[in-house]
Amino acid sequence: MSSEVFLRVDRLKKEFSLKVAWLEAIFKGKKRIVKAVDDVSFYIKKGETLGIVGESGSGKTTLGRTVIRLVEPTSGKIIMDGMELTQLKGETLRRERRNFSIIFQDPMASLNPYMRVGKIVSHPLEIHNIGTKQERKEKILWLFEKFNLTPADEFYNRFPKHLSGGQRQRVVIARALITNPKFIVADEPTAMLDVSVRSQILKLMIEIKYEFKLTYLFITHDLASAKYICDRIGVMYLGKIVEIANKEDIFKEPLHPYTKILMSSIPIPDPNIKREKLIPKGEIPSATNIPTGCRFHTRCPFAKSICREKEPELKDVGGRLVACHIV
Amino acid sequence: MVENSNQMLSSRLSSFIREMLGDSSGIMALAGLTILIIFILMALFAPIIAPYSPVQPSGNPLSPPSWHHIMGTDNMGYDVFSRFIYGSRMALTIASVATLIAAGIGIPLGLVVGYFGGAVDRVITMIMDSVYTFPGLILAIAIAAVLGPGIINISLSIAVVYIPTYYRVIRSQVASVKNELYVESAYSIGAKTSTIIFKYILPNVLPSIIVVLSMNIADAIMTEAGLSFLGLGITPPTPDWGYDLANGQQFLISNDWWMAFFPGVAIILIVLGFSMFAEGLNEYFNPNIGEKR
Repeated sequence: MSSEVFLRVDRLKKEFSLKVAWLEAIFKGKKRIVKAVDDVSFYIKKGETLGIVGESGSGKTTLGRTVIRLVEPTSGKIIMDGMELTQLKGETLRRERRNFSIIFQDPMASLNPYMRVGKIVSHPLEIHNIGTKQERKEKILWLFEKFNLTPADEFYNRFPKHLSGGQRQRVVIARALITNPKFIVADEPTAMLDVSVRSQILKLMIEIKYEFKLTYLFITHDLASAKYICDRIGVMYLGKIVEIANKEDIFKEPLHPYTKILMSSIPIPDPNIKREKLIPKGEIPSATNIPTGCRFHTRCPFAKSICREKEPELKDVGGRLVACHIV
Repeated sequence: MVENSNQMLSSRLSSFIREMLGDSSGIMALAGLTILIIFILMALFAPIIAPYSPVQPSGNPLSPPSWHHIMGTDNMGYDVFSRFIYGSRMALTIASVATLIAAGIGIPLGLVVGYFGGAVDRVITMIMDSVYTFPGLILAIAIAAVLGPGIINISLSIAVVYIPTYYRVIRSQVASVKNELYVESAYSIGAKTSTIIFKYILPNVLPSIIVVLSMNIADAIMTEAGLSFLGLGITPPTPDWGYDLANGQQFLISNDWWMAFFPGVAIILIVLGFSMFAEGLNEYFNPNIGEKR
């Protein structure tokens, strides 16, 4: 693995303004703003897999979509392979899309029901004018064979409704891969699949990562898959990254209290091992009303008075980054 | 390759017909379709079927149905049966041209406006809504009176009434389909906006349109008959059911019922045919509609 940085995200923010009824807008006089991604910075090295883990509502999906410009960032910079993605507009951005793609969570919804599977996968090639008709078909059939969608030429003419969830997700991955991109955002690619199919998909993703020299941003709430596929892991809470470190470090010794809680929620398959169970207080707060100071203090079992007042910055703790006052 | 796709089409067609026959909705659609096919054949082969010319006197005026004139003759001596046959041409032509114009304007407009939304959406929807609030026939009368008679003019005045129907159905469908993940996927692979609209959104909103389409033709036939009845349609003596109906009703009082009766039956039958076909299709596409709770 080279140490060259492939993707750098710098102070990325994404805010959504909620639609407010006009009466409320007049009387309360302000818009409600959701800070889905709030000042997030990280980098991914070439060939690396960075995992983003967090609860539902932590903004990890929005982060993934913003990084490849499916969602317009409010502010911040995204530099991919030496090119500033945030500067691209219109046609240039559209052309550039062959170099990065996304795998969505729901394979049932991410395929056009009125398009044959072969056409779905060949469409990115057609859009970017890659290869002749014959070459496209050959490449797709080859990919189908490889992805165990056999007999390939039969799958080529099927409609998505005739495919199982695992097969559909393989089609989605094939579509994401067909233009030979350098970077793929995987947004909980296994969350909607049966457990038995999950490991197949993860294995496939690891396989193609080496074969096609990919870099992944892997978004998940499933710590087990994160442990399986990621090199480094960032933990997200309410739109901010609270800890980011190598996989080994973060699983062996989580530093941020939130990471600790997440890790202690992983079941241990040995009833004799007793461990301290940390359970966060209450629910994740609303993103429209983020707590002052450290945004985790309302649920943190170790919170001190400083946590209520001052927002902690990410700081270097023995080679890893943690945003916490008490570490 | 071509042969292969032909085979697939024919097998899909046969399975479609088998499925249609499989339950009650299929029978309804089929009955409607049969009526429609009869009328369409009638229109196509009118010169062969009709015993007399529809615009030349062929017997004594006002003779009741007989072997020579199975539906009698009218006050000008025209054969009512021949006019009945030829009338289907006018009804079907105007109704389909009007529906095509309405769909041709309403569908693209709904697609584009529904996809982009925003201020344009508000303005166009407001215009469409204000057209929609007019009673259809009255609006058509107003426009027909301005444009004057003629096939294209009549079709146009009927079309205006139905544009909002297509616009609204398509717009609301697009508004929900555009947030589907497969549309976002299309965007993420770098598809152009036009590609997204025509390849990803249009096929997914089209099934709901087919029903509206056949329903609208039925409605358009009624409106056309209404316009001709009021003398705003086709110039006589061109055979037209609406005109014949209006002409015939003057003679009802003298018991010459056949002149108004047969054109009336024709209008009822063809509208029934389209409505049954539409309803059958509707049940086929939305299987939940006819279901009991």
